[in-house]
Amino acid sequence: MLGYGAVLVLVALGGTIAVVFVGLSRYLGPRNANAAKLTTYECGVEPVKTARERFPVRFYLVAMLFIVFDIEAVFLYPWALLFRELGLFGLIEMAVFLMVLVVGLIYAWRKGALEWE
Amino acid sequence: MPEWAQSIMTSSITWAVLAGVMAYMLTLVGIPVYTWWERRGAALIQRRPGPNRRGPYGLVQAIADAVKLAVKEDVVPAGANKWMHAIAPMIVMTVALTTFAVIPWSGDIELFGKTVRLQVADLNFGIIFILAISSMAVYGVTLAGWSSNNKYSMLGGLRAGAQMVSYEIALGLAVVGMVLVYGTLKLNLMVAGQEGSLFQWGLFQAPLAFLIYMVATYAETNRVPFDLVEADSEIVAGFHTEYSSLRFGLFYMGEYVHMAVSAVLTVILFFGGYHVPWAHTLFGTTPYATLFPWVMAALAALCLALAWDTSRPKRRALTQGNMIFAAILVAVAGGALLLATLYGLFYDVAWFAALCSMVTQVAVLVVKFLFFFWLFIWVRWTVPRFRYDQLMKLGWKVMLPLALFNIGLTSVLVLAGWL
Repeated sequence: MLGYGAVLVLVALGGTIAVVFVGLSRYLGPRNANAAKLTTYECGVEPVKTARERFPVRFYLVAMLFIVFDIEAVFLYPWALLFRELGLFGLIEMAVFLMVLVVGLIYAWRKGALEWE
Repeated sequence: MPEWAQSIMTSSITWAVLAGVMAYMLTLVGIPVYTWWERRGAALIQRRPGPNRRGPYGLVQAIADAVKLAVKEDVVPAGANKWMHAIAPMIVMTVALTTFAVIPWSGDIELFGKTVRLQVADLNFGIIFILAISSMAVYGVTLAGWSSNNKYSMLGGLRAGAQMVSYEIALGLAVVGMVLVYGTLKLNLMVAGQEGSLFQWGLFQAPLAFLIYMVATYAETNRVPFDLVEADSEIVAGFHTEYSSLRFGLFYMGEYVHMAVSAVLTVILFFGGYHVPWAHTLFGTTPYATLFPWVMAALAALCLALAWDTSRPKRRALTQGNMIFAAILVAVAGGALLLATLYGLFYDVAWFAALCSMVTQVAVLVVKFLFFFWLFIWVRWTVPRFRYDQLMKLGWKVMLPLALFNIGLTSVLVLAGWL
């Protein structure tokens, strides 16, 4: 049972495997690209403009809500770990904290931030 | 036993390397088997034979598929961001392989006065490590969608980003419930908390958390019914539309590795990990060592049954490949029986019995793991796909409130002393 050094070794090993795989296909596969082959696949229709267009703002909203609730989850972990020591005090504290966030969720819900039509 | 052999056997590096080998066996080496299994499972459910031509039971088909992928042309579309296009599949694969670092494959065993465990890294915050690392996969998928310069890829990448972050909250909150129950972040201590009666399993301690966790897991691995990011009837192939050759292979393998991690984690969090329920009551003070010969006998029986089935001339032509396969199976069965006999002779040698109990625990974990892997396949070919608005509605309006409710319920139950 080792510490972070072992994790780093695993990252390096996984990265090496990934790089080798991408490299392998460059050397094993044929390389005869032409202009038609290099166009992006859009079901046979000639691609128009670039794909990096504007996209619905809802995806952005989801990302913002995610940050709020994910940080909430991070705050919950140390609390959950020590919950048996904190007892009733911990329960009430966290109930207040969660209540604030639930109010935020209800607000987002009522404002229609969670609607996907 | 000489001094140097003892020091090798008690070294933590030895066991870390073995645990790493174990992880790579279940992922990289396992992938051909999983793809074959997925196709055969699909065929079973759809009442057709599936790949059954090349090799015994069609097993060689998976290797042929891998070779085919490797010798395909690696096309990078014009207008794509070349670096991001190459890095995205690497992120998915590296991240999926790294999560195995903290998985404990067996419990603590005593060897020459030292305690060892089959685990690569014993981090204090094991479960958070897994959540943190596996959530990085969203970068790979989203970058793949963005860098391809294809409108379908872009949509797939956006969908993937939104879907994975939405369900990650539910996943994280469900795990908070389990941390409340076990009072630890270390995976091996979580498994230790499930020792004993069947009702010590996380499944029975927090059934609601299990439900949330399972649904969120399927969404995180982008599997049916949540495979909106690669919904072929809507957006061609989603984020990997413009990927070919082994770059596509990396995404494909990354998905299976991610599934494997999820299945192992499900077993560790909710199904007792490497523990057998009521082990001590049923099998005495050293239950896993006692079970060792039975595990070996079961393995031998399975191998012999498969070997017999493969070499039956009525159903299959007795090809050279089938003969080799049957011979390997018979050899494995022989080895298993030999080990069982050795256990019968040397069960009072402490280190040998300890090693045997470790093997049993790994076998228990792998059997449970295989069931949950099969569940992924089973669900894929049974349940239809969600619509995107339904997916987001489920994630934010059902799963999130349910997960918060689960935390409240679990904490009250813990405080009342019922858990």
